[in-house]
Amino acid sequence: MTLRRAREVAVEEHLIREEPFYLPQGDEVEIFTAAYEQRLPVLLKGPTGCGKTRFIEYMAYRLQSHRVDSNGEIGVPLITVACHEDLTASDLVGRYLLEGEETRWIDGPLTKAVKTGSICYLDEIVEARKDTTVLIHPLTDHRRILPVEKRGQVIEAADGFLLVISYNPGYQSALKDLKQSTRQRFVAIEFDYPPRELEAPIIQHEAGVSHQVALELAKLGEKVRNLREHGLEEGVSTRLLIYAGRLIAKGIPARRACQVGIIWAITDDEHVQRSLEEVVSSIFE
Amino acid sequence: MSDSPGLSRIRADLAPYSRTLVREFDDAAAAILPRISPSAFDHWCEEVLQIARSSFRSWETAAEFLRVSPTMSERLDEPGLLEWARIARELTLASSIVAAAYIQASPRIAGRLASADLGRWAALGRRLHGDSWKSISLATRYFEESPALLDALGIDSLETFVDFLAGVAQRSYDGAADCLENGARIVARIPPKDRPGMLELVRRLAPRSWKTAQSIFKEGPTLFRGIDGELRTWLITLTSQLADREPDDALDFLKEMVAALLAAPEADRLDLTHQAEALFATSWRAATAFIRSAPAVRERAGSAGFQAWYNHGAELLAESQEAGSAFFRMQSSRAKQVLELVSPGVAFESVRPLLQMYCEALSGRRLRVVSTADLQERAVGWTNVERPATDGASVHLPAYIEEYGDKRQNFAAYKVLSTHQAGHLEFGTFGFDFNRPAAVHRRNLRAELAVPPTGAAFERFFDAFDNRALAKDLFAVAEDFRIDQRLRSEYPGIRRPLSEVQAFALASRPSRPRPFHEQMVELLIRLSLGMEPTDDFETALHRLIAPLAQREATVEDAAEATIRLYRFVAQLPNIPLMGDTLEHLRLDPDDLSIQLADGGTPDFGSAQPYHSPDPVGYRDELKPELVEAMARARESNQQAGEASGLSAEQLGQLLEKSGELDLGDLSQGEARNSLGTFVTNILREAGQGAQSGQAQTAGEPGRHATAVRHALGASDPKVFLYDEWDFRANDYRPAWCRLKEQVLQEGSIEFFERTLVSHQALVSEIRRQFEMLRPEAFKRIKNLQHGEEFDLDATIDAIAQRRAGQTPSDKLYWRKNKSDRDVAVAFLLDMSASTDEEIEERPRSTMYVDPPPAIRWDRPNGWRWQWDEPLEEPRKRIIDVEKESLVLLIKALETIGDTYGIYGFSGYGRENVEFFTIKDLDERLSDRVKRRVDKISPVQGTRMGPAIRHCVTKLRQVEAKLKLLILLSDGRPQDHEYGRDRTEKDYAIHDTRMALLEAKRAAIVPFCLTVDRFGHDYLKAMCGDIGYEVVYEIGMLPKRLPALYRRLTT
Repeated sequence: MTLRRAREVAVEEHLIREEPFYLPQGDEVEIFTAAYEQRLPVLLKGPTGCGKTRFIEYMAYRLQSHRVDSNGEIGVPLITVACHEDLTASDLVGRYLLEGEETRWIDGPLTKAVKTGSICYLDEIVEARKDTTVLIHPLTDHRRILPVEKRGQVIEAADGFLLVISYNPGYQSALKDLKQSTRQRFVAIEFDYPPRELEAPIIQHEAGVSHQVALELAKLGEKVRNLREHGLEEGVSTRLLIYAGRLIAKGIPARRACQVGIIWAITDDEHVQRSLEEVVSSIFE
Repeated sequence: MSDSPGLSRIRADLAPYSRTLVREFDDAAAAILPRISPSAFDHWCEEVLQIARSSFRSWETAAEFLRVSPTMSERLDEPGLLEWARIARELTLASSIVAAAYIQASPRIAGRLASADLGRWAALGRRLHGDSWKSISLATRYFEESPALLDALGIDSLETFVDFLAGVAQRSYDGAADCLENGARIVARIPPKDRPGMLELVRRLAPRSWKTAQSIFKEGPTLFRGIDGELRTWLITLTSQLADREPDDALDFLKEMVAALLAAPEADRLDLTHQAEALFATSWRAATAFIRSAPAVRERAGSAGFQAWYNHGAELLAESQEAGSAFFRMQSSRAKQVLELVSPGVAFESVRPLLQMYCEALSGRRLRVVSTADLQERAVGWTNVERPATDGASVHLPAYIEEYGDKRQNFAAYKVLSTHQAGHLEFGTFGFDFNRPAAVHRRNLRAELAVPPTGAAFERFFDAFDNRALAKDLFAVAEDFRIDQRLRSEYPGIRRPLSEVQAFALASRPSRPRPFHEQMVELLIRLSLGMEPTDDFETALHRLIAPLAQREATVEDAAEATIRLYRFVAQLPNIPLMGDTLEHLRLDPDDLSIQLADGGTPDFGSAQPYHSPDPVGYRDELKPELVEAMARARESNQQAGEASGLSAEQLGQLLEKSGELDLGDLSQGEARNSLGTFVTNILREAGQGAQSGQAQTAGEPGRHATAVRHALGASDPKVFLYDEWDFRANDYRPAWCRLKEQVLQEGSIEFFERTLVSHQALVSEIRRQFEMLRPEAFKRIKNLQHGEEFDLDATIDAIAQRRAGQTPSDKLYWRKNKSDRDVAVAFLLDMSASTDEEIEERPRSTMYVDPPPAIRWDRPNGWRWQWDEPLEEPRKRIIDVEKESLVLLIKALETIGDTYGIYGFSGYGRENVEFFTIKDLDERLSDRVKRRVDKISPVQGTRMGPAIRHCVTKLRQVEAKLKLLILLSDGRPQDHEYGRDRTEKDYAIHDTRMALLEAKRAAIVPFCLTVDRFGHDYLKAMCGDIGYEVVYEIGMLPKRLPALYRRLTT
């Protein structure tokens, strides 16, 4: 393995140069491509770890020929913002900082994306404070503008800009629902954990395990997801199955790898843990 | 008769008492004189005089003495006679009546006692004689009874007996007299060997607890019935020890112990005494409980496990008597856990939640995993409690598995059982489609069957076979084989335990000669369990099921294999097989046809009726047609169209034809009855299923509660079982209370409306207050490093500081924080009988206005003025005020939109905790709710614990930032057997406290509100740091409750 050095890159210059591994579950690639070409904002729905982020990376890679920047460099930068409950509009747009006796304006990630014509991916948008929707609305209709209230400006989005948000309907909490006025501005692509046959090759590729092991991990995934109603709202993510696979690839016994990589990660409930351990011990020898 | 001067003197002395006395003296003297020496005679004469003189009526005693003396002189020697006389004299000094009794009894005693013991005998009489007239009667009675007593007891034991009587007599002469009267009869019925022990026991007990002593004595002969010699002695010894420690409990102990011993197998009894005795030293209750539980524990845990269980309990007992006793009674969770731990077997109960989830994970369906006993109870067609089964919607497993060696293996067996069951669901046993092509079998033989064109798949399929039972058995083996093979490929981890279980099943197959058909099925079973085929027949059978081992094989393949197997087996009739019969048959390996080997014609005998071979333990009782029928019943119920439904009659016919019901041993009438029961139950369940399905979509019922319900096998869907906290044992009593939840009846809406009208002012005040709670308020949070805007003050400060050369704070921002109101509250209303009490309302002088006079038309008297009497309202009861408060609160809660539920509870005893829903948490306020409020009324007891626990269960199911449980009561928790006895209060309080703590642990804020003025006494103990409040003036409750609620939620 070649050692990868840490590299500092400005977000707006971060381009995906290597093709991320992505196995389409349906026509999501075509839909997204069409949406991007039409500059229609996209909403990615789906449970955690099912491949939303990987998909958007993959799409940024696939769409790279759609944009050439001022330096002649080809590629669509992807600016990802993980939303949290303290994330406010100013965090996205930018703010003044005090610098000596002066103040200096710093662009937020959304502003950067708008200016550079990147894809801005707001992950788990419902987590963010409600005032962020004020920014989203003008960016997601025909106007494609970003109002920067503090500077008294509006920024017209550069051509390559596209707003993509993700949303996890699994929470089913009235508080964390996306308002209709927001939802109805996006093309929605639904994701779910792939079926066993599709998930196995993903695990196999990502974890570097044999087809058999990948198949069994995918089987385990299916069984765990059967327990969604037992306090495991989301079942187990493909990501975790891959982690367990990676542990197995490194020589950790399968049952143990599943225990630490999957069961303990998804639940603290002792009963659920024990039940899942039995499922694991039935699937893996 | 000599006329010695001595005699004359005596005559003269006696004469004044009674003339007859002199004559009697003469008669006696004449009889005695020849038998004794003159000096002895003089002595005797002297005694006569002494007796006669000793008190006012003692001459009568003297007469008696004279009458008896001749007899006594015959029976006693000279010193004996004089001794007897001396005693008579001495007794007379104490009481002439007692002495008379002594004298009267003497002749019968003389023959029974050595003369030397005469004194002892008489002394016993004196012992009983105290200073009251009752004691005289007792002592007299003693002498009267002594011949019989002596016969039964002998003088030594008689002494003990009298000691006992004296002990009783200290407290109750009547009691003593009672024992004395019946003494001889009772003693005679006690086995001679036990008599000394028993008497010693009651003797020791008498001074401490005469009643117990008396009862034990009187019940003595029957007390030990069924207990043999050595154990009796042991029991008596133990009880005697109790006499010093806890005399009042002696009888309880004896009875309980005897009952416990009788319940134990006879062979075990003596073994157990050693350990019981060790426990007895600390607590007799523990000892008896131990004997009671021991046989079952030993059976389950084996002897090593039993010892470990005992040791654990003994240690616990040393720490706390109550805990130890509860442990040995098996009434504590710990006892069950320990038993589970030390037993090699695995109880279904302990692994049920695990297996439930396991099966649901595997099958991908919502299943009930319950014990087979439950299935039997449901009475829908399965009657065998040993074998697992699935009805397509639930998996049933046996209550206990212990035959596979140690705990690990037994658990593995449970896993194999449940995996196999779940396998039926996962791999589609019940999804059989008659017309779907098989996956492995190329040729579709089903198409060639002569079957009805429509009908349920299994029904049609089995209709095609003459011998339905045989076809069904073949199908079951084939399908089970397919499932097992599929499990092997799908779940590598289950292979090993499955093989072990199969090997066990194979080894326990019975080997006896069977007719041909049965032998073939048996061979098939063995092959399916992994037996290697050896002869031609086995190879042929194996060849027929081999396709089912392929991963792709479906249930339709099993059906195809069934047809082929059936054709193969049915080539020959069900002829009996003698030793080498099979060898006379030649099997063509290509077309599997059977011919006679050598052209001979051996006599096979006539065909036998077909009986299914013994089942395979770990496999289920497969009843495909029944499952299919149940599914159809459910479906037709869900579609609600009556026309498409399956009628009871149709269902009955279907089931009868299927032959899947175990009606074999029943007479025709019984069979018809059972069939009727099954049909009714299936249809009823189908109806319920449809309903509960709807309920689940409407308001997802909590997993927790459902799990609890299933675990304990409550058949009624609205019954819940809850543990109860036993503070003495410091442990829960598992599944102790049965709580029945029901929606309260509806009454009139008038109460609700009227309350609002009569409290108009209060209503608007409350509404105003509650409107202020509405969640639109934004709070501004300052002093933040990041935020929406600079906080001007802080910024100016910071700039100033910087100018001054200081380091400013960087917390310069503020932002708005929306405080969401997210409250769910459950009100739990005490509907106990005590709320029926009327309250003393203060005269409502300020509020009450006399109504104006009204004119009434009174016919006989024409028009006249009449003061309209103010309507005599029925006096208000506590419950009425509680109801009014509720109405106001509902009004208030509707203003702010909090989630709220209102429940009432009452009941009688732990089996009958009643829980009434007035408004469920997810229910909207409707007229129905309003009408229910009217029906709130006093019922019975106040078992708070389970009601609180149930509210917790309900609150767990809602999502809210703040969850509240408000308990509104009028007194302390009280219920039938909610404590050791009627008067005990601690138990109930501790259980309630624990329930409140459980609420707290579930992130629910409990609060107790009581209108009991003396509430402080126990609320402090009950609530600890949990909030509570006593409303002293009950009339204030309607005002207080909303105010309190407001405080609690802001």
